[in-house]
Amino acid sequence: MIFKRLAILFSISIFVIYFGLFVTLFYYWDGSLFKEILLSERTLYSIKLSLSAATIASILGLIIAIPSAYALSRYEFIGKDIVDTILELPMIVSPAAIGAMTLIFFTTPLGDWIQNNYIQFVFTFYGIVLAQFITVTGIATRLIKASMDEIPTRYENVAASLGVSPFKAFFTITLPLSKNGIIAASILTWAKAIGEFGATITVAGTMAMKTETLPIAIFLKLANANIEGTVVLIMVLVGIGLTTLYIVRVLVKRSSKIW
Amino acid sequence: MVELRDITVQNRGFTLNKISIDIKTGNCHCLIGPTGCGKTTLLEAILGLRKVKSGSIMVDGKDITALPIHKRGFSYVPQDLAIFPHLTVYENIVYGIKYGNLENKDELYKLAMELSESLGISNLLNRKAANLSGGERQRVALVRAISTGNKYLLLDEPLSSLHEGLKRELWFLLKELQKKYNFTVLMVSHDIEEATFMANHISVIIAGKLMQTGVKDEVYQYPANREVAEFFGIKNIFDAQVIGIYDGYYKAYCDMLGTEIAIPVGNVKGYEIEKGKNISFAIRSENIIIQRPDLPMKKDNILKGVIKTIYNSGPTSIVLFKPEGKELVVEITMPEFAMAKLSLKPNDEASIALRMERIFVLD
Repeated sequence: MIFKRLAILFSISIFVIYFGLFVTLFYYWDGSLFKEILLSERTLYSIKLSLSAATIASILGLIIAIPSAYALSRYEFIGKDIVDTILELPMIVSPAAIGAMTLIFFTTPLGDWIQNNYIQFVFTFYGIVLAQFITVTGIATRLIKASMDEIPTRYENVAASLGVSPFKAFFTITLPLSKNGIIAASILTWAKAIGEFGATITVAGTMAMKTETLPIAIFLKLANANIEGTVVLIMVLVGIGLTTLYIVRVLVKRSSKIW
Repeated sequence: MVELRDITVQNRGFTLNKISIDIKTGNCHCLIGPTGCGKTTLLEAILGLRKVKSGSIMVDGKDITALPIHKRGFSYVPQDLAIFPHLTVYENIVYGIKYGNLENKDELYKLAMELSESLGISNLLNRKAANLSGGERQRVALVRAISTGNKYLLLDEPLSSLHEGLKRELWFLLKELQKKYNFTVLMVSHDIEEATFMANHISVIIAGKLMQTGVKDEVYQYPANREVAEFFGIKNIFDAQVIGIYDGYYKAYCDMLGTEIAIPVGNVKGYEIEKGKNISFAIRSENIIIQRPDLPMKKDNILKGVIKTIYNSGPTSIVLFKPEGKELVVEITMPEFAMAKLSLKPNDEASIALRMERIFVLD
């Protein structure tokens, strides 16, 4: 009984920490400023930029993460352990370091050649997407792999014995069965991408109306000692994050009933 | 026919060593052996789940050793059945037909419906697979496997989780289906009763080696060696020395039992016996008779001694008999009605007879 109460107390303490931080924002709340900052052209651009970059980076990340997770979950191949270990790189290395590594890459002849002949990444929208993509893909792969590990390979073996190719079995058995894991990974990937700061600022800079995502806008407002403005932008970011998580949760619940 | 030739499979320190078996078309061939002996590994190698280090797998004269699973033509029912949980019963049973590279799909859809009807699952077609009972799941797995039209069905202990009544019901069902649709079954089991009921042929695998393969009755009645006999649960294994060769039978002296034993010549399989040779022979406990004083007594292979213990196990009783002047015990299985007539109790003196035609010599 004591253990149960203790455990519940710890879980409530997590809520208290996060909620307490959020409530603190209201100390500097200025209602008249909220509408003005929220509807300003610069903030609306940051919101649009953050949403689009995070969405594109997450989709690209998932396109790579899903087959990679399948390979890591199902097959034995040379270098598998190294690939598996390096997935955690974005978590163990600071995002600023990831951004710096990306920036350094584009100073090499190969990086320079890519930028000159294909896409300019440094200080552009593509740079934001790339920084977020690099930060989230490893995590997405790890999460989806964990979900695929839970699905017994026997399902695919039986499917193959019924004359179904591995490709079709992947789309008709493995993918639907890991649906919940992939959705959860997508949510976390997107949430991580939209809140990404360190790598993004290093690769794309802080150009207003060009590469200023919401987290960067928050940082700039705070750097200028504009606490009221910072509070508004934090609330916008939190609002976007929580609303998205809520919508996805409702959608998942509905689809679970249909499935 | 499936022909396995010198199949060697290595798996994390375990080796399945040079297995050669013929699985004849239309037969039910059962791979049996103790847990961890390699029978499932062999089944998985045939299916294509495990890499064959050496040897070949031929199906109807065609070498399929290097083919991927989906091109081998073996339908597989694993131990946990692997019913796809996100699909309905109907989607499960037509899965192979819908997504597989199969011919005559219209005919196969008809076959799936016909099988659903005859196995009594046609009323479950719209139900989610996750909501099925154990017996229903078995039936869905069988219909799904047979509906592909594959001629070969590989079963990995698919009935092991069922209770006795349902298991027996499915034995009969599987037999009927096999007869009706004429497919070949290769089945893995550790259940001797299941194997002897289902199979025409049995292969015994112990510690990665094929110990014996052949017609069911032959393998069951005459285990080739001590390992197979022990796997079959035969406790009455004795050493003896051949002391005479007569017309139709050998005479051996068994010091362990303190008596002479007559063994029919026909029960010595595969090698010559000469006078003075040391042999091991065995007899199943149900082939030993406790003699009734009111009936004509047998004359050969008689032992006198005392009843040490009697265990009742439902329809049969297990009697432990101690031969006169010896410390070992002989195990006897008697039907309950016969025990009632004998009205024996521990420490009673008794005379037993080892049925000569059921004694077999071990390699």
